Amino acid sequence: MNTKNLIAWTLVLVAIIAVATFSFNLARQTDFQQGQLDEVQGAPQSDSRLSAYRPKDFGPSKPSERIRLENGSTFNLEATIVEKKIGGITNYLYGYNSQIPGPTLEVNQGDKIYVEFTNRLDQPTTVHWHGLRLKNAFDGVPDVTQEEVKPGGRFRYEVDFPDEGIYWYHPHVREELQQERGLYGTILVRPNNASYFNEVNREEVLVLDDMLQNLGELHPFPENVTDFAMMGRYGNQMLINAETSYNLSVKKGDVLRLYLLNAANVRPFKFAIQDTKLKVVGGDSGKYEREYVADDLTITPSERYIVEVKFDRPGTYKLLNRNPIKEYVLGEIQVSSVETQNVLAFDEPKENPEITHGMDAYRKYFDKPVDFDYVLTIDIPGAVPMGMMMQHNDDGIEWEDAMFGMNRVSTSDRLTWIIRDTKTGKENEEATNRIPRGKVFKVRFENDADSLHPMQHQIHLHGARFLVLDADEKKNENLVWKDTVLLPVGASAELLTYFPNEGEWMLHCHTAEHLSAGMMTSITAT
Amino acid sequence: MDVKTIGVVAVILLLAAGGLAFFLQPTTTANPSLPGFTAQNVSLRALATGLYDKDVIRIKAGIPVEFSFSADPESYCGTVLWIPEFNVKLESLKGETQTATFTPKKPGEYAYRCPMNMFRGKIIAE
Repeated sequence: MNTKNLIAWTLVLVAIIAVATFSFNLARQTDFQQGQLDEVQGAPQSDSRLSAYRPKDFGPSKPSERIRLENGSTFNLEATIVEKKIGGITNYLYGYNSQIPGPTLEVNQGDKIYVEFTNRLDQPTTVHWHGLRLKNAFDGVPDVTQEEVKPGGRFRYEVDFPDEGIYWYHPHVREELQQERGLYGTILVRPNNASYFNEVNREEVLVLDDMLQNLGELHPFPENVTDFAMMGRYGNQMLINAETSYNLSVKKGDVLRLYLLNAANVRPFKFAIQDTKLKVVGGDSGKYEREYVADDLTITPSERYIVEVKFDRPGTYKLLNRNPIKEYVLGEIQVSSVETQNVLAFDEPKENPEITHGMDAYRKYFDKPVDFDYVLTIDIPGAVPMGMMMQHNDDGIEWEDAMFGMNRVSTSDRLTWIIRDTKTGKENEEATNRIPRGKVFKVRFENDADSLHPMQHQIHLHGARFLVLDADEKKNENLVWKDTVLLPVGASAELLTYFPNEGEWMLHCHTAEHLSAGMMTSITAT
Repeated sequence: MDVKTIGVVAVILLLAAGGLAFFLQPTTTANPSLPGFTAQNVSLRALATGLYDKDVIRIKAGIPVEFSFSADPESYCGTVLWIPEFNVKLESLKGETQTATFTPKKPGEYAYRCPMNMFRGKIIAE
């Protein structure tokens, strides 16, 4: 090879290598740019809003009624789809007899009524008679005491009222959806003893609730799972009797008895009336041993309180939800300068020895050993502990949803809320227990402060009323019969109870989303 | 072959080697105007709505990923990002951007999530 050829071949070789290298790099560069494009376009999620609820058949909502029912009578109750404007927003909701709240049923203690229930919703439902000690077959628990009532289906309930006070009825199918849409109503059981309650000028039932409205409608629900399963669905619209601005006009000097119910999914209310002391008379099931005066009252979902108030001065008094984080105005009471015609005494809080006496039969059991011991906790597969998840207040209560986004995506298929029997280690539907009917037994709960998400629970027992003997190992000196107990983070409580009727009775957290996420067991009375 | 010829060939080869080095060397130093030529830049933000701004991120396997993460402080558990496969844990407690670099050696799907496993997404390496 001569010199010229060598130089020429060298140049050709270099040129080939240069072209190949350039082409290879160009290809790489193009590929990567495409990769970047994919990444940018990589299915960015929007807010993944669920589709709006647009029912086919619905009617207008009707004003809530109070209906007096005689012993042995039959009452027709329908669950219906209604259109109702709340806070300027038209919502598609559910009502009992097209009413939200459903009709208040007024009955005498000891009476029995029959309820012919028809489901005119677009999904199955049942009616649970909350706090009533009735026959198990009419307790309204799907697949336990009855089949779900399918759309268009009917069920005849036989409802007993052995105890005086305020009770309520609501579905036991997808409570987080059906209660949020408005399925709840109250029951006033008039005491056999006409002088059981203090004399008042008037009585009002106030159902406290909240509703989550978002982008101009009731925040929609996923079809097959429950969202907000971690903390429950806290609403942003406060309601009394499904109205955003409850208004009541009374006369100067009027004494009122208010029957309070919290029908919210999870939100605890700290109820107060501006510049007014609350005389607390009763709880879930009748009167306290001793009346007491309070500035405000913590009412957890499904709890009831009976309070009396007197308005001596004319003016406007705001009804408040005054929790440690935020204050909401729920409505107003207007007190006119016109004096009431029937001036009543508004005595200092009094003792109710007949209530104490009525509990005497149970005192011999107060120090008995615990029969069933449960811990309340959570399982989140794949989660690792992080201290920042403890969002509760110093009092162990989450008064507000401080983690809306995370709460929203915490669906019931991603976590399990747990009632665990500490003796057997079994959980939820596996943790069932048995006890003879009529036998007095003691139940203890502890709310795990070290769980992955410690928060308050309100435990409700079906088919029974109980005494909360101890809370955080402090003896309760003022007893009242209850069916729901609030357990803040780390709290414990001991309950004494018995079942007057046989059957499988549910024991569950009344945070609707926690119930949907598994937090329910049962005790069977044999 | 005289010394002159050897000199010319050597110069050509030297220039060619220089050219090869120019084209084949890592781009980040050779051509700063094309960032990510050898490292894929990916960004992710946890939103207060409970979601990431991307639930799928597509990348190329075998090329390093420069992963930038930030979070709305209101996203709570979303402020901590965890990519278990690559042992990546980034915290953006005040909304600041944090970065990590890793290389998915094989094609596949790799989850990223918050510690509570509520915020969820996946990297698809192709």
